[in-house]
Amino acid sequence: MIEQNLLRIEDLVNNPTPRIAVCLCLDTSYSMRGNRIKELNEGVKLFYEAIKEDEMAFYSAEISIVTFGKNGVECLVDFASLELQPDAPILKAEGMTPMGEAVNLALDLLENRKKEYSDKGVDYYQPWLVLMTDGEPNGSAIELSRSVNRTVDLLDKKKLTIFPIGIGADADMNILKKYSPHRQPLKLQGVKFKEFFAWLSNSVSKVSQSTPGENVKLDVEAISGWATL
Amino acid sequence: MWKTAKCEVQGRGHEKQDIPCQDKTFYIQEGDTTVIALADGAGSARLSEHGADRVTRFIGEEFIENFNLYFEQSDGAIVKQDLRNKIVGTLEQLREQLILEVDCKIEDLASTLLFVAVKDNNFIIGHIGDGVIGYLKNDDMKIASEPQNGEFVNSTIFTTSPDFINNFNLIKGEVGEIQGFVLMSDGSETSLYNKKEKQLSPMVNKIMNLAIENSQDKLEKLLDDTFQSMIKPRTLDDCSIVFMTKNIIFETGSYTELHLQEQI
Repeated sequence: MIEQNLLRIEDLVNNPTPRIAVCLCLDTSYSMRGNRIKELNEGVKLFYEAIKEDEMAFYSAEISIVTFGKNGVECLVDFASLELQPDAPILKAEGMTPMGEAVNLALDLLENRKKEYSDKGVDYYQPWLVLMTDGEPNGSAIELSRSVNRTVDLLDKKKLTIFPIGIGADADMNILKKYSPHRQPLKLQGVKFKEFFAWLSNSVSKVSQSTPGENVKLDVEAISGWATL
Repeated sequence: MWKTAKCEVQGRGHEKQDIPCQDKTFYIQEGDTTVIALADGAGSARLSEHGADRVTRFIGEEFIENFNLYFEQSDGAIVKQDLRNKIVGTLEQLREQLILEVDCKIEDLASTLLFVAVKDNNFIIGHIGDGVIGYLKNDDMKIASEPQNGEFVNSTIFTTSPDFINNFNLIKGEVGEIQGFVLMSDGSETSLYNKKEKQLSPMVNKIMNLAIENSQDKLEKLLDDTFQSMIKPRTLDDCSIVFMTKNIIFETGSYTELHLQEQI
């Protein structure tokens, strides 16, 4: 029987699942205290759970969390799959809003991760940066300007997708607009973090299933469930 | 003479969304010329399965007709430009047919394209986009043309891309001790091509050796069973393969070429 000679599963190669790196760059400054930080924590937790429940996204998505606020700028979670780091961290609100420094750190982490993928022969999708803030940046103006320029350069070269999200009435939408000149930043309705992160996990899932040439369109209708322009 | 076989299976992603298989394969033999071709329709292109089917047939028939013209042309740039013009012309004709029933732009027919054409002892290989072209020589599988993705895994070059010419990998040479050629789509790559080592899996070698001992019908049935049960579950994408092998018998590492008439 030729079937017996043929083709055993051991003869197949095991290529790693292509990765999508998602960096959450989150404002955890003093003004986020109370309900906002509580809802943000719930939202991030929901994001983790939703990714874990999705067959493709679970193996594709790698999440990093950079915070600006408590302890200045901090990489709270470095990139890894949720298989390796399954639990969402607890965010605490304190300190200032050094947004430029945080975005620069996020971009560094994304670049480093892409290089690691390349070195190890792992395919990857265009990385995502989610930037959420409820205030105005008050770190170094030079760092802020550098972070905007770096981001716009990557966007122009189609090497990055960014989601700038303003929280509350005091969010500086003008600076968020500078980070995303081609797509309007969004303002979160109230504290609908959960709705946002549910939408985000769904979007990650769609990208992780996309094939060459497939333009994954973001679900604009669903955005209206958690944001206003 | 060469023996050919092919297989294409609808991916789990397309099954779920009720989208037809966008991988298309084709082979043709006439006189002393054999052509195999494979095209993977672009995920974003609405009618790409039609474009993929048409472009593989076009390539097969074109090389049956004009192999010598292409092979004897010493300037590869002229060959690339000529093929590009003819492919676009073919897709344009298809668009005009389809537009009678459905809105269609030429970009809706985009696909990758991989082919090998052999006449006597000469071969021509062409590759645009992702997928892999391999060959068997001295019982060892080697890579003739690697996948051409962009930086990101869901980006590649298609038959309708403006930078087609710059990304068109074209190779010609003598068959010599080459025992076979294989084309596969990116869905098959997942299980049959080690991306880091840039090597084909041992299974490809086994498949090509089985082609020597088995009829085309039997081999294609076996391929379909194998792809359905082992290759398809490991990806969401469509999976396809097409190959050609010399009619040969292996004897302790060496081989003897047979004529088709003798086999019959």
